[in-house]
Amino acid sequence: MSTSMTYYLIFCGAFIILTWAAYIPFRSGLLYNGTVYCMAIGGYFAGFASKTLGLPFPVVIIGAMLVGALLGFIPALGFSRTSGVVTAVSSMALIFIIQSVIRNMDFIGGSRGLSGIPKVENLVIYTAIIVVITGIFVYRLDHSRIGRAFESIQTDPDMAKTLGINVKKMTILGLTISSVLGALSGALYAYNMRIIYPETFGFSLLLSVQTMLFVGGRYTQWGMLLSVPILWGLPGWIPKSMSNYAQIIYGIILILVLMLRPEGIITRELLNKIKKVITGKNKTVNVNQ
Amino acid sequence: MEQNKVLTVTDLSVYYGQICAIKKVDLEVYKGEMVALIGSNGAGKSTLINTIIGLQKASTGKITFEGEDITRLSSEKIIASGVSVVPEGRGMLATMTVLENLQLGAYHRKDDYTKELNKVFERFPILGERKNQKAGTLSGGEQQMLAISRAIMGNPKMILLDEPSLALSPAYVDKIFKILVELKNEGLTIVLSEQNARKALQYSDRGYVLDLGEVALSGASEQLIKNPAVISAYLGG
Amino acid sequence: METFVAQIMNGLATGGIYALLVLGMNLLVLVRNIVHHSYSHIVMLSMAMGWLTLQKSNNNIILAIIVTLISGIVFTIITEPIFRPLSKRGAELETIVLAMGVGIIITEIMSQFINGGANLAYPSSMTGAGLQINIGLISFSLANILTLIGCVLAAVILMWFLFRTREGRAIRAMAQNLRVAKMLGIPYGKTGILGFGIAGLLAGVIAILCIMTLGTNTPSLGDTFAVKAIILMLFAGMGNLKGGLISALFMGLVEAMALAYLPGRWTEAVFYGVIMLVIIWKPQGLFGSQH
Repeated sequence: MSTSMTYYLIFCGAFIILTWAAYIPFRSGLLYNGTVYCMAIGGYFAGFASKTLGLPFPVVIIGAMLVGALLGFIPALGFSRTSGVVTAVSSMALIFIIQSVIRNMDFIGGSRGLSGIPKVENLVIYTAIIVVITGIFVYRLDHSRIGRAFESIQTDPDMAKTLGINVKKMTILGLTISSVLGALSGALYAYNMRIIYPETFGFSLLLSVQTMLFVGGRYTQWGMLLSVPILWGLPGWIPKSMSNYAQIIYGIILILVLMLRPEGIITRELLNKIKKVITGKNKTVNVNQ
Repeated sequence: MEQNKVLTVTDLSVYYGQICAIKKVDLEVYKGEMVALIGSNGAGKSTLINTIIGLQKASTGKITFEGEDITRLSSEKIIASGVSVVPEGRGMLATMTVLENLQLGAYHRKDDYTKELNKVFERFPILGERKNQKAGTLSGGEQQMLAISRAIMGNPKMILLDEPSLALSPAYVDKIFKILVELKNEGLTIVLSEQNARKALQYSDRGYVLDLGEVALSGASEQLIKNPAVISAYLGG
Repeated sequence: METFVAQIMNGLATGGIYALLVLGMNLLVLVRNIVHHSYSHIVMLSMAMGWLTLQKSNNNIILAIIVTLISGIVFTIITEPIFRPLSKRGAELETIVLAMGVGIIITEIMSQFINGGANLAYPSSMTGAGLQINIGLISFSLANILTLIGCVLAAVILMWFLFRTREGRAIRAMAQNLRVAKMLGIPYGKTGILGFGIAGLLAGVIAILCIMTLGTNTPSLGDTFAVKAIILMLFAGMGNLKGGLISALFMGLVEAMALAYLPGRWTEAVFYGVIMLVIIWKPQGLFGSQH
């Protein structure tokens, strides 16, 4: 497999996980912009731990997830009290804060960035495994009691409270899980790029996550499997002369989706139809036997 | 009599998707009368009022106001041609002042409305006293007075009231109805919907009984109030 | 002492600009329930249009000012139909994402097509050229004074419009209770567009004031101002016009003081950190949301 192909695939893997990180809070109706903040934490931890501390890949990955959980849990405590627009906007502040902090910490490169992150052989296989494991985790979470609790919070928070759901605890849980995934994504990203800058984890990235989530299908975990590779592969599909306009095209796609097909491309209805087709076909076969 | 017809509703039906809210309703209102629409919850009274004023689209049928077909007209234009609404629950703009609410009642007027404003303060001195207070701080009865005053700021030819006695103390209910009679005597045509059938029929000239979206009965109010079917269904008899 | 006063003036001028941005955004919140994250980007784009005019017209300042104002109005009104489907289904949260999309498009347009993304410099005749006015022993920058006066005027006129005119009341009524507003004959479409138009005019004015205070324009400025404006709006309380003015002004001062007297590298983190904490502590905003 060519290097650019592995590079692209790992990239996609990292972003699928990042979009799942955004997906989980959104299940309880939260537009959480701290996913990028967690990615930065994961990325920088991975870079620092592998380069300076020389820790091996598996340890770094787990470490990143733990650090992400911790540093994501703290703001989550605050965000348990807020919702809607307030959460969305104040979580944006996290991005600025972490960028500012990173720039001030010279031992991880400061404004110059953190370079020379060691290469990991067969990263593409590890990424694939991690994506599959994460996917299974997200699936199980979605279809568990917790997932249903998230769903009811999104539908009607007050109703959810009367059903005995502790909205605050659920919110913190959702945000912390999101932070773990965000950090994981950051670590994979760092290993792939082998150099990271504070600027990477900014608004452009935030918008990309939103686009991937909303265009792909915001109410299911499968939508991003479609939107991530397409959106990141876009520069490869459009003629070179238009490659400058990639961001503009993302923006326009996002706007069109929000205006015309808000649920995204992979909607729940669509999923149900696909399920019916699959199980429907099975039923016919049984009858004929 | 035809020249005196202010509002004519012919064969009106309103569907919310598959659900029928109003079915083939015929209605007529003459100048200077007070007509009551009575019926229980869900009978279609609010839907009827909302459709007349243009907030709800009619599925089939026709609505004519003073000879003009207003069925497909926008609320804006309907109001400008002389119809006002007092919404269910009074529809206060709570954080805006009493004065501002009244001023907004005259929104569609291009001319000076000081005369009307002074008339309101004459009729309801308490509104004058509280004119710079936020509308939300008024009592229920005062809010209803404000809502009615707001509706007449535009010098309408007809006003529609959606359940004016809702959540009002019994003392205020009579007050409000007496005010409506006063306005009627000054030439205003009034259509109101009410769950309080007794009061509505007591004060109005004619009535329509709505049941599950259809007109079950109609006639002079003093006849309806003695009608055994009406008594058993709506008058607690 | 002179630096202190100069910093206060700086703070007030930037605070004034933040205040107008918050005012414009609050207006759009009231009119259509939209959190218009890209309002600041529109301001920057209008500034860029002004710059282009200067380039093409050999520094004709009057023309540039007119073009800037018109750009503000046009660009803002263009976004109205984009947001309308979301407003109609009450999707307030999504409007942030939509606005971010618009913002990125604007930023990219500026990076790619306008001077190749490099700094836009404005002639000194527009920026007051560091002219100082001396009162007693203290000298004030002309640009700051003009900006401050401009901000005060704009705010006063806008408040007058919202509280003392028929259309202004109509806009506030729509924000308060859309159903009742419609029942009073207030047209949803037209009034909304009027609101956008006025916000757009304000954007044009802000653009001109920014030219005076900042003197340059870069594509990334949109993002910086956007986040600050949106955060300040929440800080005071969404839809709270008067509260927004006061807190934006105050934060402008705080920022200027912090820049001058605190170790520079941490100011941003502290600024955002404090505001974020306040918002979390009082999600309705310091002065309460009117929304």
